Amino acid sequence: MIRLLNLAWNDIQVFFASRSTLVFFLGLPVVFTAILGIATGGFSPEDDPRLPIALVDADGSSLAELLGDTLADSAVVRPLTMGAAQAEQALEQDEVFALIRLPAGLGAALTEGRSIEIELQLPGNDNGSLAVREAVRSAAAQTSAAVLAAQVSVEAAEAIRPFETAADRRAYIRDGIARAQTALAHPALETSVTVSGVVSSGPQFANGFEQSSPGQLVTWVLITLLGGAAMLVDERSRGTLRRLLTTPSSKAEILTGKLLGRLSLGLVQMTLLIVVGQWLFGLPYGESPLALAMVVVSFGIAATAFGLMLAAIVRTVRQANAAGMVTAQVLAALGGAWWPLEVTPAFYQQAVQVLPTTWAMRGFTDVIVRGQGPSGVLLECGVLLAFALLFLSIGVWRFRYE
Amino acid sequence: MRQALWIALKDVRVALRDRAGLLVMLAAPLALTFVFVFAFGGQGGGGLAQIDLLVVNQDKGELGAALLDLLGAAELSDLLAPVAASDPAAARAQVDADKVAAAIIIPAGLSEAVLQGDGSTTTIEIYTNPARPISSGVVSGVVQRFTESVNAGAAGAQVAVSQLVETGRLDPSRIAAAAPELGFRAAAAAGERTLLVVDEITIGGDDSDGFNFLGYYASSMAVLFLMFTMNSAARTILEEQREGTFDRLRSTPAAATSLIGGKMAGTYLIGLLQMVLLILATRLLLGVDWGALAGLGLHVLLVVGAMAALGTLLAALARDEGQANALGTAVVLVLAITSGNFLPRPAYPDWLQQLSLIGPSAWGIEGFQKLAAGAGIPALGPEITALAAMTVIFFAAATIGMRRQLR
Repeated sequence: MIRLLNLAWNDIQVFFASRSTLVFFLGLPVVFTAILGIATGGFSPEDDPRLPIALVDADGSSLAELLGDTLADSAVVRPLTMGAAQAEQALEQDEVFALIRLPAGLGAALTEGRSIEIELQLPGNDNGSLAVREAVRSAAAQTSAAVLAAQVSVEAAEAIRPFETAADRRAYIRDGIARAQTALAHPALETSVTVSGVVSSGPQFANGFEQSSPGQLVTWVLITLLGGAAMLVDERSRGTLRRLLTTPSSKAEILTGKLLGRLSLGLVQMTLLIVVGQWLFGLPYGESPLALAMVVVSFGIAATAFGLMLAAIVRTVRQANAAGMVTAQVLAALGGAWWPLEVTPAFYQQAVQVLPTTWAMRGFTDVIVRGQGPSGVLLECGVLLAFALLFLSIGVWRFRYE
Repeated sequence: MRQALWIALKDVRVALRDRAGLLVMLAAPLALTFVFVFAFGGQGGGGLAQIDLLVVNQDKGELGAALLDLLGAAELSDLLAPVAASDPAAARAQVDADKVAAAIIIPAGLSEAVLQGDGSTTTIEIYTNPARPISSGVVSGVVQRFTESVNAGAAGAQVAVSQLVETGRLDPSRIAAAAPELGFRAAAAAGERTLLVVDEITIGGDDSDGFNFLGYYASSMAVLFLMFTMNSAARTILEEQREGTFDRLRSTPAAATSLIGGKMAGTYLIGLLQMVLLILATRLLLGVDWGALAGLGLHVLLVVGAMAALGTLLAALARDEGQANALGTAVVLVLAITSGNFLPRPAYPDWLQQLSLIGPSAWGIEGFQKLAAGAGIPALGPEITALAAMTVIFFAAATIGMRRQLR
């Protein structure tokens, strides 16, 4: 046992002998998480997760105000009223997600029953756009509904007894719109959105860090653990493995020691990245420490075993390095570490169930997004350990010590 | 001169024989481009799978039935796959278990309460799965629209009835008979047309037809792995130094300049070969449109130049091969993540898009994007200038560094 730990400890020391290792171990993963998180929408302030949008009201009528108020009640957007120049600048500098312009004459046109355009500027390539578009259309439809209600009313009145003057008719419509606004402010029917689980604050759009933090953790830890293949191949080609075999240690002890050392590296790296995710990016990693630990250990074992399998397949250190790097990236990308599987077609989601990275991402999402406890991650951990068993069997069977 | 050429050609031959190198040079970028095509279906991002949701309708009246009809309507069938359920708790449990994206729970007595207009508020519950935030947003949007049209009807009835009664056009005893008809007309009017038309303007450089993921990732992956190849090719200069090839060559009349020149030319040729093969492969296998040939040729020559220069500079700055490897990989990855090699640049905040222009990768991607959109050489002015300037500066700095190393 002590021999085993010695072997493991020796490998850990070798790993950290070069200072540049820390760049890949911690520095780059944090930089990647931050940039991907910011780029995919992780910039909303915590007290109000709604997307900020600039509202330019060149009309100022009560109907324009109604539209603004309706938007302010939205669960998706947070309208900020500002001047045209200020709004352009805010959009340019990404302080707001989108810009809405209400043209002058909007109130007058609506009161006369004419349709009018409002302008919405929003990013084309962003998950948030879908939700913002819906929210703005919905607010526009509500404002429009107030006017249409007044029109139905005036037509019904005319059918019974026509108005004496055009002014009477206009007054009737204005009164109708005012009544409709009051009625719509106290709607008969509402929707309430409840989010499953106890963890998420429940924004209507993907929070960038909920995807990028576990995603980058899986990617970079995989790079570290598949790097075990290069380490093993290097020792084989230098003959140090053969030399170890002349010591009292058995083959099983040597291999276990080496894999244990590599696994420890992965566990340390995951712990560091989780601490960063919790404190820097505000993710609820700590809701169920036991469930989190189960996912971390299962993924670590599966990825370490994958590294051994890789070492059994490749011949040279260069091959091991290249294959490890490429395999890690492709597996991570396919398994939903780079983008949520939710945005991919159904057959894709089915196909990637055969990858360990898919199950690792599911496990982390279970803990930090769905608020699951130990029983909620049993399936994911079981599948990861089954992968580990498969990879280990192939690795032990095919690995050559010299 | 002849010696430089000999060194360059030898490097190209060695690169083509190195199986691990070819994996990074060609197989990896192609594999990752295929992954992107597989995930996003090539053109546009319209790969969203049908959203599974459960609907529990406890209402016996017409409004509950109308919502069910809407959710199952033909025009939403690409988007939603609603399944009827009877038990609210069981439906919520399915969401908790990550089996479906959302559950919609329509309360008992909904139609009665809304149609009577007693001033109370009834609530439709949407129970969503936080692991599928985008799907949840879509479902909420559809139910929200239904709610709005119901409210428009209710408000319309209320407005018309109160105005008719107050102006003596309707006898209060006939309210109950007239209200439903007026409500229906108001809801229909609101459902049929909107007086406020939302005119959408897409910002961020791409049009509303959808972002071309395939074209983007084919070029961003090619640029990324070009950076890797250029680093590893330039690094062989340190390998030669370690193995003493340079010392041997130096005993011949060749000057240090021709040695360095030969290594740089070899690096450049390898990069050019990689880009040409990747462009041909993605063009033939995936039908990627890279744009007009003249502009593409010029841009490729410049991108490879800037990347080869950067790789040589990084090798010149390192003490040994190990350090060059670590430094090179770290610089490449930081440039890649900030420049948009992993995620479309337009999604980035503006300051990051500007900041990333200090490296050649962002200019490379921008140029390929312009070319794919049909631009010619004149439109590539900024890219050509920036890449040419980087090539000159990096090569100059690298030559100085290398000379010092070889001394």
